[in-house]
Amino acid sequence: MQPKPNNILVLGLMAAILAAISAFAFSKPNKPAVKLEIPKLFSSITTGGAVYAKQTLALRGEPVTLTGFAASDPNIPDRFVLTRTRKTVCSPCDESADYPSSITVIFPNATTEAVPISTDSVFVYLANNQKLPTTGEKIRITGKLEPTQSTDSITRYSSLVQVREASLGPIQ
Amino acid sequence: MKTNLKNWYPLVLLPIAATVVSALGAPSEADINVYPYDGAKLLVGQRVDLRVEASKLEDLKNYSISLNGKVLTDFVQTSQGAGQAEWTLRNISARGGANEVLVKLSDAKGEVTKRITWTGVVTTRPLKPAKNVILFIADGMSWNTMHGAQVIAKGYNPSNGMPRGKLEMEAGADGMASISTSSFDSYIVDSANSATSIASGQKAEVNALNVYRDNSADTLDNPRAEIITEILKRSRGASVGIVSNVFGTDATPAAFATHTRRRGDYASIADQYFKGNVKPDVLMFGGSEDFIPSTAGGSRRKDATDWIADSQKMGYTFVNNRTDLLKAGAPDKLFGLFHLDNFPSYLDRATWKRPEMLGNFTDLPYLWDMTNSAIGSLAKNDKGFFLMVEAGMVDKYLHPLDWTRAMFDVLELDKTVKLAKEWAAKRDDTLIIVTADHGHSLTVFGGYDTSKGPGVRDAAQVYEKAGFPNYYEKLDQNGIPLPTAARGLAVGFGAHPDYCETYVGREVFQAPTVSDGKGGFIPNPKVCSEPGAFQRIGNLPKDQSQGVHTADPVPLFAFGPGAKLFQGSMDQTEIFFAIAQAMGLNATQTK
Repeated sequence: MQPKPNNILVLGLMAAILAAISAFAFSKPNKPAVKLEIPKLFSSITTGGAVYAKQTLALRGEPVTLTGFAASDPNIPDRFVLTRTRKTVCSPCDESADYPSSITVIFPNATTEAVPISTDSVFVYLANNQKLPTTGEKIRITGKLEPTQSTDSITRYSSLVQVREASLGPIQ
Repeated sequence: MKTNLKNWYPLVLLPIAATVVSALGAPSEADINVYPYDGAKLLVGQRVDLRVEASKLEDLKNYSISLNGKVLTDFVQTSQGAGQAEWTLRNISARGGANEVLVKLSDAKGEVTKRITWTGVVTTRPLKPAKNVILFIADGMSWNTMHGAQVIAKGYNPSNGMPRGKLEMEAGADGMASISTSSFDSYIVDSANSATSIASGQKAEVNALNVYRDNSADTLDNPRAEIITEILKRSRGASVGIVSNVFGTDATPAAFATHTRRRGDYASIADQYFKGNVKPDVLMFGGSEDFIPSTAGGSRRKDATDWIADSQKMGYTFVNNRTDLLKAGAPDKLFGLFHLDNFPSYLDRATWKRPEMLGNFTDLPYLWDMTNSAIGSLAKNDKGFFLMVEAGMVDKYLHPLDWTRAMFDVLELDKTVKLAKEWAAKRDDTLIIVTADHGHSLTVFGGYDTSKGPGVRDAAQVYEKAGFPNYYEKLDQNGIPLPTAARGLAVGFGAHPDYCETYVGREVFQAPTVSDGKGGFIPNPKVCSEPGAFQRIGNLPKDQSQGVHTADPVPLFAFGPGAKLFQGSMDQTEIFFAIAQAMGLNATQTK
């Protein structure tokens, strides 16, 4: 027997309700993003290195919100540096040594490893369909916190903290 | 008829010339470069790597490379690509006077020769040689910056216009020179190749440390020139100390113990300190980021090397704050890392103490603390010592046009020079040199009436209205003036990007420019929003974000035995030879 169109509709509705219930029952509730500040990502910075704050480590993989200034390279549309203060970006610098810490050095496709590690910034990987902010733009980002020392394969920017699958929002 | 012999000459000579040409063949079209470069001055006995590079070769047949008529062997031959060949012979040295390197090559097209000359500089035993050398380098300090710092420190007697005194770095100098700088590949220097001029007497490329140019991509295999500290260790067993307030692998400290084509080879520079020929007995600076393992937060290394731990296994006493440094006494080997990166400026540490500028680093030694400890350790060696002390943040703050921070760092250096002069006055065997590696375009042009607030053009007064700056009336706990004065300096820069001017310093540093997002730079809006700030249109290319090094000559003052060798106008490379002469250095010796 072929199901009648009305039966199909009923079955469909029941399936949709079941799916909605199961989604509600079994999925993780949508956690609110924890608001963080870049300087408070570290509990101390000494000659032995920077030490992550307890809260930073506890929030590994969790959604967080940070505000700061974008330092981006238009040629690399899916990632950028978020800095606490508005920085000068030096993408053509071949040496970082002559530049004070007010400058963020980005080396697109570089092989050099002469990249300053900043405790004053986080590296942001954008979620799909997010538009790259322009350098100097003050923005709020929300994404998953990753407190790991890592060097980005494209920009060679070494960071201590990354935020992944980030979305942008206006400053509140 | 009498035959005119002159008419016969062409008929006779042409066949002879043709015979000669056919015997030699056409000349090879190969290009040949030789390093050390043609015209190099080398200290007799100073070890250098000879490198000959040939390009546009067509099927190399034979070669011969001779020095002063003697054919050299044992070259390592390499090729960077088609039609190229290189020969490297390490650790050769020049004889006194004229030296000639003759290269002869033959390839499928014929022969080519290249002849270059070096001058071997001979030192004589001075009547009173310097056993110890203390070399102070104020990074980026032009004559104008030094004099501006003097005006802050000493000022003038307002009743008669007489200067109230000189800086310690000038006062009572036995020798004085105006130093001109230049690079192998440009007439503007950076801090790497300018320090190379002083450390090994050679012109090098921008960003290079004690190496000559080569055609290979590897930045660590370039032909090297022996550094004064290497010669002292090798020939005398003298001790060596390196002190700075910037990160320790930065160009100026690195130039006194390391070799690389690229000053950004930070991890290698850190390793060379402990594994190279110098192995300085005293190392004190910032920049632990290049000495701690990659697993430590903020490390720039890519490996597990931990020089804090390993240095102690090598016998170094390690300290990382002022309190421990002052307690450390005078160990034979002393390694101090006081900051993850650069020290904050003197004003940040001594006066303003803003947490934004200091972070966790609230127990930092002054330059004089480090120098005092370094001398204590080094002077234990009866064979003498060489100590380089850099005031590195002078340059770091002149770049972003922050002249206030820069000049007070000159004053921190000046108090350090005083300490060294007092130590040397108790003996007669120590040469003290104070110089800069290059200049910036700073100029002091008037007096600023700070009662009118920041950024008031009419408050920057000139000629008779400039008055007399009176910083000296209020001193800090170290005897250095406070940065606030009713009558301040009016200072400008000759080469700068678009930026906003306020005439006065600020306690929390601000960069002069920020990116415009399109590859250029615009004035930092935060500065432009300060009261009174007004925009100055820049004269540098739009891709420059800050002030730049200049071609201007820089000062040199010298005290003690050999100081009179420094006089008149000198090229920066001559500093190396004058130090060698002052010490009566015999580089042909190996102890």
